[in-house]
Amino acid sequence: MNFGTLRPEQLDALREISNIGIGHAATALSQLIGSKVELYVPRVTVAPISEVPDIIGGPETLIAGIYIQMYGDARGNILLTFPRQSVTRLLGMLLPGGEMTGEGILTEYAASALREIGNILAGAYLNALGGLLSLTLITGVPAVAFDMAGAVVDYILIELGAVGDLTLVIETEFFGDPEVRGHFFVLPDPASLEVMLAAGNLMP
Amino acid sequence: MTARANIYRIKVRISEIKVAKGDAILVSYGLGSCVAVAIFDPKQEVGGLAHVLLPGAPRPEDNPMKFSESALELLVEEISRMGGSQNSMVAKIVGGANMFPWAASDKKKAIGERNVDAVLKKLEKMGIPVAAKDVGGSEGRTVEFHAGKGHITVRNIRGEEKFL
Repeated sequence: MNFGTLRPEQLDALREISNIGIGHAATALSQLIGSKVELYVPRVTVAPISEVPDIIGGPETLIAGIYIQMYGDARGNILLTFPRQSVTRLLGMLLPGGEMTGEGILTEYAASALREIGNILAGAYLNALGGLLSLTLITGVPAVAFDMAGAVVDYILIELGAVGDLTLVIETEFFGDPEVRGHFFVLPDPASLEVMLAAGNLMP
Repeated sequence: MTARANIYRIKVRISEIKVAKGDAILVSYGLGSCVAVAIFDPKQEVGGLAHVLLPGAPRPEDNPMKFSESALELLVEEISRMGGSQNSMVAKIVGGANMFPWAASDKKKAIGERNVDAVLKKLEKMGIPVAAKDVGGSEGRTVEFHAGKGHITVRNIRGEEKFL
């Protein structure tokens, strides 16, 4: 399956499914940090791989990236990205006290907290998605990087790049008090996208 | 206006190749596992930068600028077209980091390194010497390449600079 051939109604359906999954992830995150966080999927887009760094604010912007592999009936990658200010706030809510970040430096304590956030968000999302589609979806061990957006993202693009020039981006906005913003990219392998669409009765 | 402001800057994104003459600066922002390959002919003051995503050769339907083998051939071709001669070309390479050193997959662990190896091998085959390199590690890099002179500035997220 080529991402370029996805029809608008298939993209809409993926957005709906993702909104439900993301809703579960928001509830899990709110419980973890003890403060209400809402997540919303404004867009599901098919974008050229080379444009992904620009979508998250430009390739040289400092971001925290949490990368989680998806296994099971569908395979792919999940990438959560948070701009610096948001990651500082998020960590502040989780781990009160102490400076967690420097210029491009995360303490091991902070990295560990971010891996846990990744686990909870991706786990809740895939549970909901798997439930809706009757697929078994499992998360891998999260990995964290705090660096230039371009550098954090190209790692994931490499795997996608081997099979095409386009990627499916499920963009997510986080809203909380204090404000936390982020992006949630779900990047299924092309073959797995087909499995997901078929499970949702969205194939032609 | 300062002299610096007159310098012409060209962005080279993932899977792109750009070639320029004289004082132009070719820039690739935020390289992780990708490799930026700069090749220049110091005599003719012409050079180019390829932002390579993957090792190896492309299939017919792929973008040739994405893969090391074809990207380097295209880069040399473009520089030659602008007056460069392959015999006097010199290369500098930057990138090939491993951004997630603790990621579970062994296959992916090596991707940055595999990119660097593939580029070095291809350069050797093409008879282009490598004058300098800044590769590996686990940090992102921004590369600024002076096409005519071949000077490179590598910058990390903390703004620390290296000159190649």
